[in-house]
Order: sequence, then structure tokens, then C-alpha cells
Amino acid sequence: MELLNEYGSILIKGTIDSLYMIFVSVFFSYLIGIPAGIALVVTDENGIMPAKTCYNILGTIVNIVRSVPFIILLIAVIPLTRLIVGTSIGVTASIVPLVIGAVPFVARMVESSLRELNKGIIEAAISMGCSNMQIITKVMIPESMPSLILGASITTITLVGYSAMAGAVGGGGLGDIAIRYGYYRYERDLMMVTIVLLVAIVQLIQITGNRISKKINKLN
Amino acid sequence: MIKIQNLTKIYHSDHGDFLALDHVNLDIKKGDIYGVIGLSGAGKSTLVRCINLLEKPTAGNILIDGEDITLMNGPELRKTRQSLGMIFQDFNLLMQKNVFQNIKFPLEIAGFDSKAADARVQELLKLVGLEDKANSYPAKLSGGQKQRVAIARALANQPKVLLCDEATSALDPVTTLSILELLKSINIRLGVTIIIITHEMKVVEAICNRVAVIESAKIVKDGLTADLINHFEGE
Ligand SMILES: Nc1ncnc2c1ncn2[C@@H]1O[C@H](COP(=O)(O)OP(=O)(O)O)[C@@H](O)[C@H]1O
Ligand SMILES: [Mg+2]
Repeated sequence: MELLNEYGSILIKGTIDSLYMIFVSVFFSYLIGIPAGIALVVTDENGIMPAKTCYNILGTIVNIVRSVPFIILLIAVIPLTRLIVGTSIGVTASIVPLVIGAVPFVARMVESSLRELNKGIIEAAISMGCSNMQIITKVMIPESMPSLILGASITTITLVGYSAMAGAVGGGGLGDIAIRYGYYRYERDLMMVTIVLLVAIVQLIQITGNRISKKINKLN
Repeated sequence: MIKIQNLTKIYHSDHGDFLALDHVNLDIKKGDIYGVIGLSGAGKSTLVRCINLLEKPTAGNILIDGEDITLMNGPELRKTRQSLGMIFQDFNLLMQKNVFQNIKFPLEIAGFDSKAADARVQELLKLVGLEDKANSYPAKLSGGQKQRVAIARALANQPKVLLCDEATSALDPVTTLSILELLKSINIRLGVTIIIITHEMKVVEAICNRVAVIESAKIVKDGLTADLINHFEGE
């Protein structure tokens, strides 16, 4: 209780900062990741618009970024962050590495959701005279929606972890608090509280994602 | 109405080339229920999928009312595909859309206004006897009901031709008969030419007026169903 009196406002601000970092970066990583994921599916040699070079380049970029440990990516993109945001510290600055780290992840999530789709459904759409764009927007995405939603909750949870790491190197949010108070000042209790808050955020995202996915899925 | 001339299809793969159709010639007349029968792997699906260019022929021509579909692409090809309905063994319905939305889908693609499309969907629901299932989702339907939805969907844009690739192979015998009855009544009432791919002689006997036999990529016999049955019985 005493702890909450003393640090309550810091914890609330940390939670808000974390949520802001997470949701803004989810938004931007989907903005870029959805087209990238779609491109990975449709330009595949068995896709609806085969384009080997495009597929290979995209796949390679995704794999390279994904194989860089996030903590290293965080530091590596500092110059870019400065260029875009003007500074490399603070909540907004941390959105840059978060988005860069999450885009390839989102691209693969979207790709795997779209690949689950029965190929026959796409053939039926072609036989009805759909254009490629119509197949993407009217068949592939709506038919994969329950799976895309589940993917989005996994992505968001991954970003909870990333955002805590970003916080540890000056990004703000709950990760920042855990490091600053828990690690440097031995405030173990405060660290525990930030952990509990992070776990609660993850649980909430998971439950919400599962609920929505189940609710909209007409397969069962 | 459909003239297939020297249609040849070679599949290229890492294991080498595979000749799936070898100089196939067929002449399908308006109003025919034309059967193509053969064993599994004979090339039946490849043949029917070439007719709407789901599969690109390696050589040969496919004339539909005199227009060669193998020369088409882009919007012209898509427009032509709307005049060729197709149904499949696995139905291939949109699982996240209900029956009504599934049937409406090709009308949206064809650019119908929503009101006109709704009215057309009602007609089609009636045609296939699924008025009471308009709001059901495919996952809740039996195989026969799913194929009825697929038929309604394939007929939505009033095609001249209906292509059926093993349309009854996933169905039990009783349901098969009811679907074949439906196809026959569509042929008679709407004048739609129907091409039926099957490995079952009883399907051909039930509704096809003409039939071609395909064996290892080649058409080995074709003619009136009655003549062909006599031929087999004579052997
Ligand atoms: N995409 C493909 N690539 C390579 N071979 C194929 C492909 N599709 C079909 N084949 C081969 O072509 C032959 C004919 O296939 P198909 O037309 O599906 O036969 P059917 O419908 O009569 O069972 C089969 O031997 C099959 O393995
Ligand atoms: Mg087949």
C-alpha cells in the first residue's frame, strides 16, 4: 500500500506510456506488415501473382531483420530514430525500433494466416472472374480474419516484451521503471508490481484476441 | 458452342515434364450435358480447368461461341469467366460468408447494384431449394446443401456454360441423384450447357446426352451416351 502511495502516479504513467508505445507500434507495424505479408503470399510461385525476384527480396529482408536480436536492433537504429523523431530517448522515439522489429514479424504472421486458406476457394474466386485485387480484398482477407485477429494478439504480446526492452534503454514505460527502480535502486517490490502489470496486459490482450477471433469465426 | 481443338497441356516440374492432355478435340453443342469420364489421373480436371483458363493450355485452342479464350487476358478474360460457371468436388464456398452472401458474391464482382443482386439471390435460393438456409453458414450445411449453394453461386451471372469437376464425388448416392436432378432441370429450364467431369459411369448414365472417354491424356472415344453404353456392354 505504502508502495502504491509512493509510486502510484509513476506506475500509472508507466502503464499509459507502455500501452501507448505498444498500440502505436502495433498500428504502424500492421500498416506496413499487412501489405508485406500479402505480397509474400501472392508473389510466391504458386500465388496469384508470381514474381520470383520480388518474393525473394522481400523474404530476405524479413529474415534479416527477424534474425537481429531486438536488443541489438534497438541500438542499431538509433541514428534512424534521431532522423525521424529528432531524439532517441523517450516513449515516442522507441516507437521507431519497435515498428522496425515488428514489421517482419507481422509480415510472417499475416503470411501464415493467408496461407491457411484453402486454395480451392481462391480458384473458385478466379473462376467467378475476380481480379487479383478483388481476391485479396474480398476473399483472402475476410476469409482469414479470425486467424489474422489471433495473429494480431500474438504480435501485440510480442510488442509488450519489446516495449519493455525499449524502456530499459531509455524508452520509458513499465520496462523503464523496472530497470530504474528495481535494478538500480533495489526496489524489488516495485519491480514485482511492474511485472504483475505486464502480465495483466498480456493476459488481457490474449483473452480479448481469442474472444474476438472466436466470435467472428463462422467455421464453428 | 464450345470447340476444343488440339488442346495440349504439359505440366513442368522439377521431376520433369508431364503430358496431362494430348491433342484433345471436343465439340460441345449448346444445350448438351456433356460428360467426360475417365480414371483418376487421366487428365479430366486439367481439361475442364483449361476451359475457363484456370490452367493455361500449352497448345491448342478453345473456342467459346467462336471466341478463343486462350487468347484472352485481363478484363476480357474475367468477363468471359463470368459466363462460365464452375462447381467443384469440395464446393469451395466462402466459409466466413453465409449462404445469401456466398450467392451474392459473384454479383458484386460483376458490379450489380446491391438491390438488384438481392432480388437475384432470392430467385437463385428458390431455384436450388434453399430459401430457408439464406442466413446459415456453410459449416452448418450438409454436403448436398453446400453443393446447391455452389450451384446457385455459379449460376448467379446467368452463365451459358456450367463446368462441373467431380461435383458429386463427395456426396452419398441419394444426394448425388438429387444434385444430378437439379443440374438436369437447370439444363432444361435455363438452357445452360453443362460439362460434367466424373469417374463414375452412373453419373454419365443419369444425365449426360453425350460423353467422351479420356485415358492417359487422350480422348479415346466420344459420342452419344446411349451408343457408348451399348459399346461397353458389347465388350
Ligand atoms: N499442377 C500440376 N503439376 C504437375 N502435375 C499435375 C498438376 N496437376 C495435375 N497434374 C498431373 O496431371 C495428371 C492429370 O491430373 P488431373 O487432370 O487432375 O486428373 P483427373 O482429374 O483425371 O484425376 C495427373 O497425373 C496429375 O498428377
Ligand atoms: Mg480430378
